[in-house]
Amino acid sequence: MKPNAIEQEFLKAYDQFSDAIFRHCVFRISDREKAKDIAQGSFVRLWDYMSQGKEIDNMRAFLYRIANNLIIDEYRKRKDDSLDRMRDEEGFDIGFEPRNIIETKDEHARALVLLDALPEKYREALVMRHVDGLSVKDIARLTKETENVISVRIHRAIEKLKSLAEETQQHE
Amino acid sequence: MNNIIKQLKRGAKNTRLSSVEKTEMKSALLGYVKAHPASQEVLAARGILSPFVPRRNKRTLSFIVAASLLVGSSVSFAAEGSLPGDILYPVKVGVNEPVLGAVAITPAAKAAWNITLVERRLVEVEKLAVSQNVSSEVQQAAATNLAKYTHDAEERLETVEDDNDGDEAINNTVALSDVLTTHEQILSDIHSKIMKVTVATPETKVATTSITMVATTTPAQIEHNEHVQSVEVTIQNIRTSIKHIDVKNEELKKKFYKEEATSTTPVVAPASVSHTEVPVANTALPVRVHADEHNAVIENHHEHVVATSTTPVVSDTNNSAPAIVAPEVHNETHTTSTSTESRHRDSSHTENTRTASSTSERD
Repeated sequence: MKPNAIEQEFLKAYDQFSDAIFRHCVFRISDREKAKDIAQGSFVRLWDYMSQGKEIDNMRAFLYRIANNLIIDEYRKRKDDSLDRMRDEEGFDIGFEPRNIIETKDEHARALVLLDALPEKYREALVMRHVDGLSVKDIARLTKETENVISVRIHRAIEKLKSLAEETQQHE
Repeated sequence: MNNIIKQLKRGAKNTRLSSVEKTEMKSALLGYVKAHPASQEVLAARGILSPFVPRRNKRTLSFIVAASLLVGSSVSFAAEGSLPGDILYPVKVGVNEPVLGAVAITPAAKAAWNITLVERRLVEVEKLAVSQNVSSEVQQAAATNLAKYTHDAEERLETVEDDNDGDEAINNTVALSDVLTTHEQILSDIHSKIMKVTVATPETKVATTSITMVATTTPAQIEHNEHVQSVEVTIQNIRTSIKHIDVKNEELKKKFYKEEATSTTPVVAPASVSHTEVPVANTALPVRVHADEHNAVIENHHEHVVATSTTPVVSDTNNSAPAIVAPEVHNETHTTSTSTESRHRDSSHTENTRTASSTSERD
């Protein structure tokens, strides 16, 4: 059966945004398989919404919001100590062997490990800004925070990454 | 510091789903989509494309609406020929028709305008029926539109009737019935023509007989069959509406051009009455007929004629006296059940009084 108009729109959205959403999930979760699950889950939810005939003004933002919610759910499911990471002011425990970083020459894998060490809210803001390319305004709207809070988080995230990178380099 | 960011961005650029992963996910999603399809109403609502519903391309839409106001008649004129699914269709339905319809003030004029609207929807359905490559949901939308507008027209008829404008109401039913009948004929012609078309398959290019279901089930053929079916369904709906309206027509004629009441003419001849003939005096009010094993019971708003043996309560407790509209008619019942007869006789001594008793609602 030929896909109807809504189905076509949905598939178009998939073609357009599946990579971006997947990428976002990977940089938030650091687990490729899990990231695929969440990306797929985002599109499932998108279909649930679209099949009810509801209109979507900004498909991209909508998808990011869905994905973000799913990721937050995922974090809640994980062990309790992960929850502590979600709070801004909380200091973090590096919890990884610096040696692993050195051995992993792959820039990408290195970035993921570093990101893993960030508090979740910092990570969220940083990934949205510098991986997804969303504006601070969009991020603020997505996460229901003020733009100021988002800017601060991004800045702090970068600082933390810097110090992390320096620390690992010290062990080289 | 920028180094980090650059690293991040570089890593990001190269992160994507492999083509295998992407297609796998797509087919998984398609499975989900097919398992949870959008309902017909949802699809039809999209077909209507009302300008008052915010749309994804609402920028395009508001431009068109604004432009039509500025430019004046040219867009509206162009929109007149549009069909459901066209870009200009919202202009036709949302701009042109309200403007044209605003001229109608009286209920009668409004009813006439409603009939015109039904005609426009009929024409759309017809145009879609004869065109190629019409997606099924556009056809569905057109059919649903037609149903909706026909329903509106019928409701409008009620309003005219309530106004007690008998002539107009009857004119309207006749007009609506005519319009529907004419177009039902047209659609039937179209239907028989398109039924004869078989979609050529790559192997056999022979157009065969009028069998619609061919052995090959190419997508094109399936689509064609759906197309034909949609037309059939619409024709059926129109026929149903015509019957409905003709019945209404009869009712109206009786209501506004009633004969003097006679004792032997029942207003509605109950088909299910086996052995009772009950004269009914009241002709001005609609009559509801129930049949049960022993008796026919006729209930109307102001009188009880017969009480069944199965429900003795009705005439006794709720009505102290049955009201009779036409004084000269005596409620004679020829029922075979003696119990009801006697009960009726008891209460019938006040037969010439009118009471505004409320009848009990039964069933």
